[in-house]
Amino acid sequence: MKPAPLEYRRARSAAEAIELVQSSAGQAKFLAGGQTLGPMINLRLAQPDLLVDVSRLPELLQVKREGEHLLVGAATPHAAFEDGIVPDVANGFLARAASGIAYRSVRNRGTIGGSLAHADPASDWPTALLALDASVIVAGAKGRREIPLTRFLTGAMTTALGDDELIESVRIPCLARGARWGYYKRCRKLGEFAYSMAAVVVDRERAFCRAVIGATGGAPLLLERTARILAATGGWLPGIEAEIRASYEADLAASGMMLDEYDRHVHGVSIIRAAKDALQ
Amino acid sequence: MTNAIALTLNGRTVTDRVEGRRTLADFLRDQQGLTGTHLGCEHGVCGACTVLLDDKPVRSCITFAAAVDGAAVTTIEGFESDALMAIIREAFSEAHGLQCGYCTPGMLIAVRDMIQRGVAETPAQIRLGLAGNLCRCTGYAGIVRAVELANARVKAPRPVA
Repeated sequence: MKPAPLEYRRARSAAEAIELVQSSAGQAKFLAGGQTLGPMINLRLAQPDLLVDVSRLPELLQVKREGEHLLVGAATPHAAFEDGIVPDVANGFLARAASGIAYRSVRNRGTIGGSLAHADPASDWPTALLALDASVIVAGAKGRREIPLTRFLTGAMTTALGDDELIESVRIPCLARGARWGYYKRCRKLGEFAYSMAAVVVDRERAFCRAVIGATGGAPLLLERTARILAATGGWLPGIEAEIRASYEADLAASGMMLDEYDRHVHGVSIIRAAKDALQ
Repeated sequence: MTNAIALTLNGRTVTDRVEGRRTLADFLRDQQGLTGTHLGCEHGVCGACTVLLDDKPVRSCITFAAAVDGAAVTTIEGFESDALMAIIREAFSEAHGLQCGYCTPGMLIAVRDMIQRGVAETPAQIRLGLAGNLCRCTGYAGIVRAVELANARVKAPRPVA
């Protein structure tokens, strides 16, 4: 299908982009790579009146190290992580997550900030970056604020972002050299949105451990009991699999998330495989 | 309201006006007469509309024409004198990498990029790299063989007969 009529404007600065969106009479959307918004517009699931292109704004393309964090511009495309153009401060996890997103021609255009703003439960960055305890720095008419992903991702395609707020950059904590991670994704066809995914990060030096399941239909879910088990174990030891399964079930029950038997099983397999990758 | 755009299209400078909603694919086909870029799904799944944007493959059906202002776009028509594409084209012909040919422009552009990046070394890698280009005729066996053939020839050029 073809998009409904819309106006396209390229912003010259983040401030101008915010101003354009804020002063629009109809529905206005920021446009980065457009790899998710584009299909929705073509299918007329989204019919914005105004698209404000932010994909070439220099302030959204910066990549810099800030102490123990990496600050990545929101308009950085997935392929830049895949190719190692962005320093992989997560021991290969960033490249692994990026390289599994859709297809190369999509990864050349799609951006990390766009993916987070869209917050599709089945997309890679929300789950992967939540597991790394990343945060987003957003700019709006009232200034800048930093929002950790734990508070930013509030539900399926739902975030804490205001209508006229723009993600400028993503702050990713650097993992210690010995930190391990595991990432498991289940798709029926390569490049498809995942049916289930799980991410595990075990960074003993920084006393940091996280386990997350994604593609649940809601926001990615932090598995806190499971993370404690992973932090305490000496490795992939006998009995650990049963412990993870039990803690995962307890985490699910505590979350109130309603999953049918099959989905519960599939996500359980994902978290066990991700954990095994991280611990073995 | 329309947007004025200027771009380098297959090596020549082009200026035009486009509606905000105009996709790059429709701009190429309907305003520039470059109908080698094919539209299959029109939502970024099938890969038939793949073109190069600043030397990188992208899907022209989910790229807005207004967004390529100032960029360089290469469509399948722009590879006439490209030595690597000549090898790939010949391999597709020899190894039965196409039947109806609808997906072929996107396939060729995706494969050229894979060979350049060195990610077309094994059948498994080729299938992985081409997961985003759908073909409904060949069953992919001929396509995979064509890419293997092209990649081998790029690495060790055939002696001139």
